[in-house]
Amino acid sequence: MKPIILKKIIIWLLLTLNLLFAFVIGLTIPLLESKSNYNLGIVMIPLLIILNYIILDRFHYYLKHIKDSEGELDPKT
Amino acid sequence: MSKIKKPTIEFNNRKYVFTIWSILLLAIGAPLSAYLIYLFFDWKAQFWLHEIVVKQTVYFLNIFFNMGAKAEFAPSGKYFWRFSIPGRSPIYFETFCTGIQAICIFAGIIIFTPHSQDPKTREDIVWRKTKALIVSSVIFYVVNIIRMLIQIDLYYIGYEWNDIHFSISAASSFIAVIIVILMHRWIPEFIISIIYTGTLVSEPVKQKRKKKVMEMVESSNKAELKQMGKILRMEKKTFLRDISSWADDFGYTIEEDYLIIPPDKISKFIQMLMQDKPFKDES
Repeated sequence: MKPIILKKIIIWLLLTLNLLFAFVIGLTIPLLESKSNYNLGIVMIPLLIILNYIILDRFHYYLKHIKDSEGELDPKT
Repeated sequence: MSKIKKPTIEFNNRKYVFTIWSILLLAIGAPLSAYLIYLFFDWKAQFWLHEIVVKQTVYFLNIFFNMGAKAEFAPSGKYFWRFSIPGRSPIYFETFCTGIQAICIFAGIIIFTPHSQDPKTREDIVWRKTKALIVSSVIFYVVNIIRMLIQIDLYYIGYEWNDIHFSISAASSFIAVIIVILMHRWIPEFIISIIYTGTLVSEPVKQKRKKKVMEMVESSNKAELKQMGKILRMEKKTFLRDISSWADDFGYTIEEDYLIIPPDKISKFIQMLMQDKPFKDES
């Protein structure tokens, strides 16, 4: 398997887990008995948004390094 | 401090150079942010965390031990949630029982760990920090739930709460050691920044020692053996043997407590003494 495809799968898995976690938060909020149940979302969703950015940034890092190594292998391109 | 050349620590083919400000920020920011995050979760508006932890613990208590435990909402005192254990008096739940204090400490350390000034080393620091933060938080959370399961089951079968509460809680803190090891794997910057601080503090002392030896050699062609041992970082146990063989290698002689340098070798001696790693390149 080409390294880029493997990296794409890893990023796809991480983003899926992130979305699933957001879904679980949404599912949990109405089940909570605490008066401040909405605060679960208010605290966790911004953290998930930051995590989403970090995962995308990691994908950018993978692409950059694969591009760099391809450039080293084929200096003409 | 600005006159001192910044040391570079190499570890796993990466270079670590830190600014003094980033190290100060770690020393002040980590404990302060840990305390503030803890206060945030100790605030009534964040007691949803208590509910989630209590309900998850009760769920696993009933699955593993079939004890009929219940999570009760009892907003009378400072905290709102308690465990109801059949045949025993209830156990009140507080913010410390969530394990958030351990997560806060490590979150503070991870967030404020300094980034190396080397561009290659700091390239993926955010990713490494995020990984360390998520893994350490999840481990603390899971271990805390396991701790409560063990404690409440022991309480249920007849042990006194005071006998098991503090001892098991203290024993479970061993997990912090595992987290430090894991953290060092992903963000070695934390441990290295501590070593770096030691290097920064000791650097002026080393420079002063070298200068003292240089002045003595220039004026009297000799240097104190004790000072030379410290400069060359020789072990105390084997010092006498090592220093005499080292002196032979360079063509110096030893007389009582002094190293005697021949006049024609003084300039070379000073040159080697003032190197970053004294006498290493030529030895």
